Amino acid sequence: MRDATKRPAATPPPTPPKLATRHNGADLSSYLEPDQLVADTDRPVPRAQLTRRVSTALWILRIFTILVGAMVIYVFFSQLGS
Amino acid sequence: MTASPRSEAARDLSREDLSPEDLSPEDIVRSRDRKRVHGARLAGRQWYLLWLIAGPGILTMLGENDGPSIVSYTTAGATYGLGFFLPFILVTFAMAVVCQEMCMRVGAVTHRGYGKLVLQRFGPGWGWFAAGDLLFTNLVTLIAEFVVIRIGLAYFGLGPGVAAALGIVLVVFTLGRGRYWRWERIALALAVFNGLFVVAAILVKPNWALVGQSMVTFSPFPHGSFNTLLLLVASTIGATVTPWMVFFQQSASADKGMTSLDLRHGRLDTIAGGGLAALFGCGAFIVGAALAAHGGSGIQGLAGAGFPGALAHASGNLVAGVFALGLIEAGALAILTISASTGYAAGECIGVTHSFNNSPRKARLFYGVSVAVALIAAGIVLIPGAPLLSIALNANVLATVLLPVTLVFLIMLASDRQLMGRWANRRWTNRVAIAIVAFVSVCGTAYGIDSFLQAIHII
Repeated sequence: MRDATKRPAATPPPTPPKLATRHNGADLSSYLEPDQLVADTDRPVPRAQLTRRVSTALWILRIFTILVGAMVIYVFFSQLGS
Repeated sequence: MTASPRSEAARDLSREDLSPEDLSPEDIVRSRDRKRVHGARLAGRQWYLLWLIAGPGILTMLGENDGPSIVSYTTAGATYGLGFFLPFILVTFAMAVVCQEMCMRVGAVTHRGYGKLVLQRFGPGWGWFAAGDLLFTNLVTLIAEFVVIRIGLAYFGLGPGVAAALGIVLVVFTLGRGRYWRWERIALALAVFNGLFVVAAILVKPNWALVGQSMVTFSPFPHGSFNTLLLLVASTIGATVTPWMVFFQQSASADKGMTSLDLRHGRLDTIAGGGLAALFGCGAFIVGAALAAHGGSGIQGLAGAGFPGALAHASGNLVAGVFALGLIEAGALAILTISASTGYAAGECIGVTHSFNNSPRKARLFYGVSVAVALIAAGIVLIPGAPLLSIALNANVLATVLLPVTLVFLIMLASDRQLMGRWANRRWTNRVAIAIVAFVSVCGTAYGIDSFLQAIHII
């Protein structure tokens, strides 16, 4: 496993002129952007550094949606029973 | 996630050193499609370029005009008649366009699907949560799709076994040949028939002045049971913005090979899809409103969802037949897109090949999961006495309830300047997107809590 932190962020795609000058010839790869190859998309992007506040907010939202989802499922089954 | 040894070798080659032999079969198929896009762009053939790039947006939007959604619109129409819900459908599709444009943009710029990006950027825990939500809601929604196909076929005297077989055969038929373009074009051809709901709406001869008045004034506002109103509001939202749409459009945009150069046409694709889906959804609502004049009678037939039969009684056999065909199409298209989104999510999270540009032999898990979820859903729908209308409506509500987490991560990805560079969300996009998340959360939560308190007899 490669160290994701050493990997730069997903590089911006090339500009149109650069792509246009390279389309001649049989090399099909010239029609894909450098980071579009399967080999490149397999490489993980660096992990985001979430602050404690953001992490907590995400967990609260996560737990909340699970609770409400459970309520909806309970109601569905209770309606079946009646 | 580790890359394959072949990927390691390919990565060390500079761009100029790459030869066709260094490309994976998936790269080669995708580059052939991109060659046509490149040629159209160089030749300045804008309409042809739009034809080549269009697909993920229209498919996502019309795929979401699926069985449960059409049942939701028609139920709202049959329950309340023309009024608030008609323009509300337009509002929800405007919300969907905002969300789906972000998916298209993130997929085109990063070349990665939603599941893969969440997993890589925020860690396996969040990635698996997202995939779990998707698998659960997709399975429930797929059951509802088969239910709706069953309802449509029942009008023509065909049984549930035919509905199950039709869905499975369709999924298997479209998956072969290992080319995204082929799969997309078959699905788009099927999506055209979503327009049957507009035909049905014209055939019921609504009062067009009243339709126009409802559109402008959002009135009359629905009366009656607050819980039923919340159910229909939540399910109407769930009928237009759902977790599978986020997964599907981002993954399909990446699989198609879209790049940042295609963003303008990708936006047009998404807006066109949203416009068409809103038009067809309004058609279904207007058809339902024709039943309101008959007191919504008959919709509880066929174990809870006898719309075609009720329409035959109220508006004639032609309307009922067109509507039933529309239901079959809506369910069939959604089975394709939802099973594909499940396959994408599984492949992205497990870290194996996940592309229609690979043959089934090379992407066994991707194709296997797509077929497996459809098979499971088809099996469940064969159970006799299933509460069809309840399943269809609750599938949408469940999607609404679980949607906020999916949307929050989407906003975080689309705003991430490290990933998106100059294509990251602008401030106003974030404000609108956050408002949508808040609105969806409030509606889903309100229904969940209100109906739960009623179920346990507290209110």
